[in-house]
Amino acid sequence: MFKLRPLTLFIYGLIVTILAFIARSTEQLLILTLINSPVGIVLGLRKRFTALIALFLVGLIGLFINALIFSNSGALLVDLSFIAIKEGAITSFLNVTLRLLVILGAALIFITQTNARELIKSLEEELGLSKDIAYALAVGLRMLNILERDAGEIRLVRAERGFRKYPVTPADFGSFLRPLLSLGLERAVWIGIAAELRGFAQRSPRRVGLRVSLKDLVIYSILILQFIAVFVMH
Amino acid sequence: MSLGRRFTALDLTYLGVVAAVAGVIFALTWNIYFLGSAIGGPIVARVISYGLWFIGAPLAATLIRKPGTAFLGEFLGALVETLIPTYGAFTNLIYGFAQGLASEAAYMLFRYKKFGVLQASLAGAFAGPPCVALDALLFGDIYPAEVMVLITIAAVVSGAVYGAIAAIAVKTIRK
Repeated sequence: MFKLRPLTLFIYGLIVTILAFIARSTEQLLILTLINSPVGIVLGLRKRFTALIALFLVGLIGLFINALIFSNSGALLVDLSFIAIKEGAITSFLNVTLRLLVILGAALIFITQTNARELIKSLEEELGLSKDIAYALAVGLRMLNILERDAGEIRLVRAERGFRKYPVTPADFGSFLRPLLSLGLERAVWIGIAAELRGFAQRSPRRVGLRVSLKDLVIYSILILQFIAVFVMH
Repeated sequence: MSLGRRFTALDLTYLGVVAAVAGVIFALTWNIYFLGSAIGGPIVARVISYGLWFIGAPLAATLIRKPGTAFLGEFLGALVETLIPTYGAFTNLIYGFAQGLASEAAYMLFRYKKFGVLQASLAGAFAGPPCVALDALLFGDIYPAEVMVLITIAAVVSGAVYGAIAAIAVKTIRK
């Protein structure tokens, strides 16, 4: 199986996202989109990230309205009776859509091929991430599912007591946050004590330096090609 | 760099919990943002949602009360949000970094001696301008000057309100 290193994919995703912001012309963005988005979207659909892709499509409506309100200038393209769509609106909408498609593609490639725990391990061992930050991040990711379950229970209790199930006002949010934090911190106390008792302070992380396999080289080469494409066309 | 001299395992576990809480809140805030944007446009969307995206810093700092926690709370929350993943994907890291630094400045201003509701409000408020600046720089969210001012005020007010809520929530629990 073509298994890639989490660190390589993390670096790839982050740099492609930065490139998407550096790229200003439609041509530059189109190259990045064609390389990243089809792969990312296919992988995303396979791994059940349909909701994220659907949210992206819904967001396009807002982007188009935004472009119509604030960038509708230049040559007239379409004249509907109630609105005239000009070149500026289409260019602006196209550029932002392509940029978001690149970001979405890179994120889906990363997230579908990576295990979060392996990523943390890789960041610590290869990139020299502080063991403290790696530990906090590992706890955070471990607690995520538990907190989501807690949040579900809080919603249930709120509904039973006649409060709004989902917080709408800041006051609602405060009353939702308090039990969520309280439950999380209660667990954190025991996790923290256990870690301390197991000698967390004395633990020294294993550093192996950056390892690059042939598969990683392929990914880095694709990244360099995109880098060149963006800067040559600049 | 080791933070071990300053942070105990318990502090770091608290930080992890805050990152998870913030990550969950950040992820849900996208729905609020899109809803607000559809109903009331860019200013209403920012008033009701942006403060929630700045909440990692005041939560962590009020809870742990040590230098660097505001930045780490916001940045780790953004990292968790990236790994969930959400609509913002890797851009969350860029925003988390900038917002975390801005929020940290609020506590630095008081020389890390006070971690109350005022400081949490300021931490939330300080994260507003860099967030609006990044919106303009990265996504081209550039509006006429008067709209930009209103958007910045909306982000600052939202940050201040939710910052205060975060601090009050932590204080209530710690009593």
